[in-house]
Amino acid sequence: MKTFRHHHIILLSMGVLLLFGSFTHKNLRLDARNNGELKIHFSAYSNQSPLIIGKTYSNSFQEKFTIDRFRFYVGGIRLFSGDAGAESGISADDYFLFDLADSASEEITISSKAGTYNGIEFLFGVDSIHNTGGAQAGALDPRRGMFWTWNSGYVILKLEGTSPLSNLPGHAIEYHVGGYRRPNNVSQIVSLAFQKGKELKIESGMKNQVNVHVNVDKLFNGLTSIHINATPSCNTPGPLAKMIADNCKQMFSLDRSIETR
Amino acid sequence: MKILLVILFISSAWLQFSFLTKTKKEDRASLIGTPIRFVVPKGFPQPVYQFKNNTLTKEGFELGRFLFYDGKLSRDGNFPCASCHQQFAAFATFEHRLSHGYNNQFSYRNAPGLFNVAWEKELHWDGGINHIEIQPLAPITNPHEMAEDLDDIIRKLKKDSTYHKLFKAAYGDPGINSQRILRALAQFTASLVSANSKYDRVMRGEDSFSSYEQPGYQIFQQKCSSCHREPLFTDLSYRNTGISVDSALLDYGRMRITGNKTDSLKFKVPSLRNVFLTGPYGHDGRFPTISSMLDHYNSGVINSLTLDPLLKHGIPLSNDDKFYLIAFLGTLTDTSFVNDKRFSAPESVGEVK
Repeated sequence: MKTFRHHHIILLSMGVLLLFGSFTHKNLRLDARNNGELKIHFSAYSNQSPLIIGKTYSNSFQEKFTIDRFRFYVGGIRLFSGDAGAESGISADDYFLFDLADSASEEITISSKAGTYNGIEFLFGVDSIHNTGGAQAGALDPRRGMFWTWNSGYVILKLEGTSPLSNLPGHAIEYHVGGYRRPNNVSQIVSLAFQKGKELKIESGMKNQVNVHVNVDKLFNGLTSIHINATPSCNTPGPLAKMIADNCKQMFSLDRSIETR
Repeated sequence: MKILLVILFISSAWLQFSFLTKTKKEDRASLIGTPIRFVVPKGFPQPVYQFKNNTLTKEGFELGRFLFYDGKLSRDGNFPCASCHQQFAAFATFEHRLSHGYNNQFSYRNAPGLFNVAWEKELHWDGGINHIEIQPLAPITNPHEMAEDLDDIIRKLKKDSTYHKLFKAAYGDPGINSQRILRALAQFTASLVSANSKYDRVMRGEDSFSSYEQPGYQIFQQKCSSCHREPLFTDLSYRNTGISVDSALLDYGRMRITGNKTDSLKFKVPSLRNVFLTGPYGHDGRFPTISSMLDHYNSGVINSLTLDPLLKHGIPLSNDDKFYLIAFLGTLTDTSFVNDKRFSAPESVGEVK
């Protein structure tokens, strides 16, 4: 009799565990019927001037520079709300490469659960799992030119151009920011809150757009001042890359507008 | 009650299962075909590379073998992986300090033998490569070596009907992308297992050391095995063995990767398996023979801040020691490995279509 009881208990607990397991899985899956569409539009600026390849800008230290290339990685986008647990987003495995030379790369469309959200969060960079996980595809394909082959790892941001203040050949400026090893892991979470009273309402069938302003001046004028005449380039993982990455984290801000269509 | 529970159990298990199969689908971008079992030699630890998302198959391995031997992976067609990694030299470059690359250039370092790579957490002399799948990107894109880029390789492979077939056989469709190329190459390189030398046969009790080899093995165990640890004959650590920096190459090894001064002049301990075939020796091939390498340990070690503590006084070796040691090192040659047809050039590789 005793063994039967044991059977009961084991079966019951296994059943409950499994049932619970399948329910939690279900909750994690987004219910497509209840989803709205959210576009996240990244626009690059130097302070308030839209960034255009070949045009000359001045940074906060009045150093003139021209940009030939500007790219960065964003991954694991999610919306969050004040209520714990109410969140929506894409798989942490999904990465996007913003490329100033490719207007199609400025916009990311995600399907989002209906609800009211206080802010948006994403990884600026590439997490260490994808830095150490072997051959990747999609936005992380090494063909995209954002991978260091001699010292494995992703370059999470590339800013290349010229500046009369650079002492490098051709007056080049070249900031390749990467590195996943602590303490110089450059990738970090950027969390942007919507203004109070202007929370993002996602309703099923509705299309929304959030505009993220990306200000390259912050690369120079951030937590640490990076002057072109002293530091025209960064090409290796390490403390300098980390310092520039900490500056770059501040590039992102929300534009006032949340557009609903 | 019990029946109810059983039903509950089965139905929820089914729910769970259906969910799991759904999530697994994404990984199926990987290989189809006939699976091959990767055999871990007796006495070896588990390999670092476990073919995760890259199930080892006959077709995947075969594709990797074709790619390994194909000059299309280099800019001018002359430098396939196999140009620096020659099977008869245990996949090192035979009798070259540095290897030859695109446009009459030299590589920066001595090409290591490729075997038991699946056990290496990091690759290259400085450990700069963190995964076997992405290693080929380094020689492929290095302007001194293969001097090519991935877009060009993909374009060339797409024009070749052989690869149409090979990719289809390996992946179910003929699509070519960098991930498929790199994973197939890893199927080949990770399969290069060398564990059938005389030493291995002795360890398995199938053979015995000669009267020269036996004392050599004892000297090896006393004086070498703390770094060249059995059974891989390397502990895969980075050490400064008391060498000077080459004034042309200015290669400080591991320090370039970590940015840490304490890593100056440290290089990965190479495996001594197949050591008779992989000379010259050292990260830049500066030691032409095994005896010159042993002479260095006996009397050439240069003291510096990062010199390995085990080498503070060098490794005293008498001429007798050297003689026996070399006899033992000869037992590490794996002739079945260097003659293994599975690893040889496919007959039709490199045909221009």
